[in-house]
Amino acid sequence: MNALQSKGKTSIFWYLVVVFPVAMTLLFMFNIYLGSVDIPFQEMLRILGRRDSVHESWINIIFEFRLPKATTAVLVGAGLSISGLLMQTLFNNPLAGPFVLGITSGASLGVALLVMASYLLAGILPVLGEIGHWALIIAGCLGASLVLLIILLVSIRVKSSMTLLIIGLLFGSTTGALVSILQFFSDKDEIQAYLIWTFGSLGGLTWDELVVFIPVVVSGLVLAFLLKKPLNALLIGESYAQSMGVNVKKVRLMIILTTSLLAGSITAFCGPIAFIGIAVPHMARIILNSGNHRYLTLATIMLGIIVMLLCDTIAQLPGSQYILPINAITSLFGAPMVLWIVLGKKDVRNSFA
Amino acid sequence: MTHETSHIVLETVNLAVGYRSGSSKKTILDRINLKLERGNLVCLLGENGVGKSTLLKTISGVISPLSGDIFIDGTPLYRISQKALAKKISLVLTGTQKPGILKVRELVALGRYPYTGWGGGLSADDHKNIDRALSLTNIDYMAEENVATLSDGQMQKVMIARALAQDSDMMILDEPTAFLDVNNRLEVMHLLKMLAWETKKAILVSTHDLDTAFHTADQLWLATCCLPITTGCPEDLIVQGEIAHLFDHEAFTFDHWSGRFKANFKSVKRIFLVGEDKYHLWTRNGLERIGFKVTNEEAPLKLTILSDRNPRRWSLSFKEECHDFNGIGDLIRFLRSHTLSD
Repeated sequence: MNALQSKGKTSIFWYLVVVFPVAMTLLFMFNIYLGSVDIPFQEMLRILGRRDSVHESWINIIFEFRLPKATTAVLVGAGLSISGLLMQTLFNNPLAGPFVLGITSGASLGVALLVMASYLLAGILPVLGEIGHWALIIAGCLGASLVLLIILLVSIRVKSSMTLLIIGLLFGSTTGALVSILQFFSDKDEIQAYLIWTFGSLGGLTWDELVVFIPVVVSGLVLAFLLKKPLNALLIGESYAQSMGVNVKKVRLMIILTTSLLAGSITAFCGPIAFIGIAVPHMARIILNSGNHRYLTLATIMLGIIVMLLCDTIAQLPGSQYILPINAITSLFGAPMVLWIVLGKKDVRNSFA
Repeated sequence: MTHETSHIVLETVNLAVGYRSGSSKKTILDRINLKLERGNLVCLLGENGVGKSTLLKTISGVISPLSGDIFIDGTPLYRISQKALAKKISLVLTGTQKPGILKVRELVALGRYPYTGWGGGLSADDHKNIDRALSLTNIDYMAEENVATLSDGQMQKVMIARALAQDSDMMILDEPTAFLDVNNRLEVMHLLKMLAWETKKAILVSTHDLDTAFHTADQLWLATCCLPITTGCPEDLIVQGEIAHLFDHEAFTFDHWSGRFKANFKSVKRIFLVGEDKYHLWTRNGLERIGFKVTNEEAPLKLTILSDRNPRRWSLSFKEECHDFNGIGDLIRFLRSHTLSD
C-alpha cells in the first residue's frame, strides 16, 4: 500500500518537476526557431542570449515578432486552461470552460460594435482600416467587463451556481443575436474585419501591449493558486465546503473574478480561442491520474502552455509562408480530444471533477 | 449538576425553524427544546417533509432560526464564526456529488480543512487524524483507491471518515443511509454508535428508518407535524406508547411486541395456529401479511404445524376439509386463492 502511494506521488512529482518544464522549454525554443525566415538554431540561441548576430534583421525578427508571439502563446495557454479548471470545479461540470459565463460573448459584442457600427461613429473614430489594435483591445475589454459586472452582481444574489451557468449561456445567445443584427447592417469589409478577429491571433501583440497583458495574466494565475485549497473542498459540493469553513460566496466571487480577468483579457487581446480551456484540465487529470488541485493547478498551467505552443507551431505550417487561424487549430485539436475523453470513459461523471 | 452540563454540546431553547421568503416566514417546527450529550447516538425520526433537514440545517448554521436560541458548548450559535463552527460540527449528507479522480485518503484529508494553511498542506498532526479516521471506520484497506470506484455504502463510510477527520465534538448526519440497502444501513448505523461511544462525540442522525433506529440509537428525537419534538430512550418511548401515538396511521399500527409496523386489514379472518418456535413465529408473520388474525384459541380455521417429521408439514383444517402443505409459500398461495368464509 505504501509502495503504491509513493509510486503515485513520485510520478506526479516527475511530471511537475521534469517532464512538463522540459517540454515547455523545448517547445518555446522550437516555436521561436520556426518561421518564414530561416534562422539557424545556433544563431537563434546567440541572439536570445547576447542580442548579437551577423544579421541585424534577425535580431529584429526574433525580438520584435517571434518572442512576443511565443510569450503570448504561453500566457494564453496558461490563462485559458486555468480558467477552464476553475469553471469546471465551480460548476461541477466537465463541459464548463472559461467562456461559460458569457465573457467571450461580451468581448465579441464590444469588438463587433466597434468594427461594424463604426460608421455610426464615423465622425468621432477613425475609419475602419485605421482602427488600431488598442481600440480593438479596449472594445473587447469593455464588452468583457460589462458582462463580468453583470455576472458579479447576479452571483451576489443568486444562491445556486447552476443558475449562473444558465445565465452565462443566455448571455452568449443574446450577444450572438446582437452581433448577427450588427452583421446584417454592416458592409462586406466590416464583416470581414470582424471575422478576422474571430479567427484569433497570437501574433498581433507588440511589447507595448505585452507590458499590459503580462501583469494581468500573471495576477490571474496567482489568484488561481491562492484558490487551490477551497477548490478541493468544492469538489464534494458547496454544502460540504461550507460545513468545513469555506466562505462559499466569497470563493465563488473570487473564482468568477479570476476567470473573467483571464478569459476577458485574453479574448480582448487575442480574439476568441476555443477548446483549450475545456480540454487541457481533462488532459491534466488523466496524465496525473488525480483531481487534487494541489497538483492539478500547476499541471494545468504547464500543460496549457505546452498545448498552446504546440497548436501555434502547427498553425505556422512549418516550411510555409502561411499562418492558419489559431482558433481553428485549437478547435481541430480540442474537439477530438474532448470526444475521445467522453467516449473513452464509461462514466464521464466519474473521471471528471 | 455542573458535571452533567459539561456533557451537553448542543442545546436549543424555544427554537422555531422554517424558511423565510422576503418578509413572510414559514414555520415548519417550533417549540424545540433539545439537549444533545457527548458520547450518544441520537436518531431524529420523522416522516418525509416533517422538517428534519430544516432542523439539522438550522442547528449546523446553514440557515438561521426563525426564533429561539441555539447554544453550542454554551455559546450562542450566531456568535461563532463559520471557521470556528467547522471545528465544532461536521456534516454528512444523503448523497455526495462525485468528486472526480480523488483517492479515498485525499477525500478524508479534506476534513482537515479548518486546520490547514492557505495551501492545504498537511502537518504530522493532520496525518495522524486522517489515519485515525480511516482506521475507526475500517476503510484503511482502500485508502489509496479512487473514490469513483466505490459503492454507495463505501462512499458513505468515506464521508463519515472525512467528518471524523474534521475532529469536531458533534457530527450531524442528514439521512446518511437513505440510498443504502439493509446490510449497509445497519453497518453504517452500528459504526456510528461505536464512534459515538469510543470517540465521545455527540452524533445526531436523521432517518425515517424506525427499525434500525430502535436497534442502535441511545436516544430518539421524534418529530411530528405540529407537535413539539418528543425525546427519550427508544424503549421508554415504546412502553409509554409514544411511538404508537405519534406514528398512528390509518393503514398501519405499531406492534408493541415486534417493534414493527403492521398493516391493518379491513376484514379480519381469525385462524387458530398450533406450532412451536421459529415455525410458529414465521408462519404467523406470513398469515398476518395476508390479513389473517392469529389466535391461540379455537377458530373455524385451524392450522397445525406437524413437528413429528422432518421436513415439517403444515396441516390446515376447515369444516370437514383438510389440506397438507410442504411450506409456508404453498400454504399462503392456497389461502389467497380460496376465500374460506367463517
